[in-house]
Amino acid sequence: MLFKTLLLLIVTVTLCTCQLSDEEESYLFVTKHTLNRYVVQNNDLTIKYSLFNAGQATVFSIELNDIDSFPADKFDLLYGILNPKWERINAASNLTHVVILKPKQSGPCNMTHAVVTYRKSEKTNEVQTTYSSEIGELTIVSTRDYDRKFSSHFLDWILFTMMAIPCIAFPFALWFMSKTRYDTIIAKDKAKKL
Amino acid sequence: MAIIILILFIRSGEQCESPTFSVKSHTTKDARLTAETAASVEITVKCKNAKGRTGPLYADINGYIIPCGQSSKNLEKYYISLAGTHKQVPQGKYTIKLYDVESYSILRKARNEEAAKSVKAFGEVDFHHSGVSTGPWIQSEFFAAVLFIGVWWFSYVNPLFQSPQVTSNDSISNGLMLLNKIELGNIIQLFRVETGKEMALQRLQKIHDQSLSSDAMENQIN
Repeated sequence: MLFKTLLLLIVTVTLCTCQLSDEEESYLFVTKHTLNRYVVQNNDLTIKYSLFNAGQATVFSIELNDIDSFPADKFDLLYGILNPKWERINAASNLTHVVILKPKQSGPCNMTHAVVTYRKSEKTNEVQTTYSSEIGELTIVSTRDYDRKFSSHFLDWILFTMMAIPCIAFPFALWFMSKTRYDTIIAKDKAKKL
Repeated sequence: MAIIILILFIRSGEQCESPTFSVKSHTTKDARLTAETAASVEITVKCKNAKGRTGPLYADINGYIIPCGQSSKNLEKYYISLAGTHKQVPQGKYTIKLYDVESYSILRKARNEEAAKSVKAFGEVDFHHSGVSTGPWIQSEFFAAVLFIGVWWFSYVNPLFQSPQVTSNDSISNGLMLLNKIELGNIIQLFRVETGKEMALQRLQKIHDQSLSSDAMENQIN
């Protein structure tokens, strides 16, 4: 009986001390946003990852991995990398990482979490995993629909003018021929009268 | 303590001598497509000595000192990103000072701004943000509208589209087959001129006939 209570006491004490010896918790929050108003096929898609160290200790060996969200057959990576790594993020500071991609297809697209691994302190080799926020389902607008709304339409107007020129030039030519014919007659009459 | 360990770790590779930087940067160009401006800078560091390793770098951009992202595959490439609203990231040249682990530790220990400025940076790079565009100032529709309004005005001033007031069905007007009012006006004028000539000729003929007949009467009397 005494042995059991003593054992229980020892266990609780070790548990409590274990918790106390653990230094300040570190919390790394990662958000993943798109900065685009419209996600358009064959146009820049900007993704911003923000890493916030909300804890009171520095985190080390941070690696962000988002290769699975953007497969190479559907997205072209233009600038930035999808798996950067940083040496450290100080306590109460944040970090931004920007990646620019180009979607190759149009239609609905589901963009999920990025995976971030880090170490809580310099000494441990134990790796913590956290997930970023997800963007969710987006519709990638096709190039044609976006151009219809936003392009400068300069070429469209030139083509329209070229098509409208026959409708305008033909009656103009008739008028011009008639005018020159009668102008010459009137000029001749005037010359005769004089 | 942690920094000393880091320095020892770095020293295991050789120090980088006279590094050269090549920068590949991209900034947001279209403000209609993107709600915020973002810049992504990729710096490739090449050391003069072949074995030189740079290790983690820290960047001083806009007063903030942030660690540079590194690629796992290619350790010479470093990535720095910047994001903010269009007003917070204006057009212009941005200078980034790079610090390696040693200079970063010195920078952190610096007490005031002067000491911080005197820390020798590992390198300096810059990139240019050419600004975001919100579309053309004058749209192409404006030019098209001006052109076609000009065509309309030209045809209004020169009576091109005023249809002739031909109401009779007799063969003369049918025969004329008019195209427009000027044609009509011109033809009428010509017609009048020709008819006038004809009338003048007829009058002359009459006078001539009258004079002939009066001559004949005179001759008869005499």
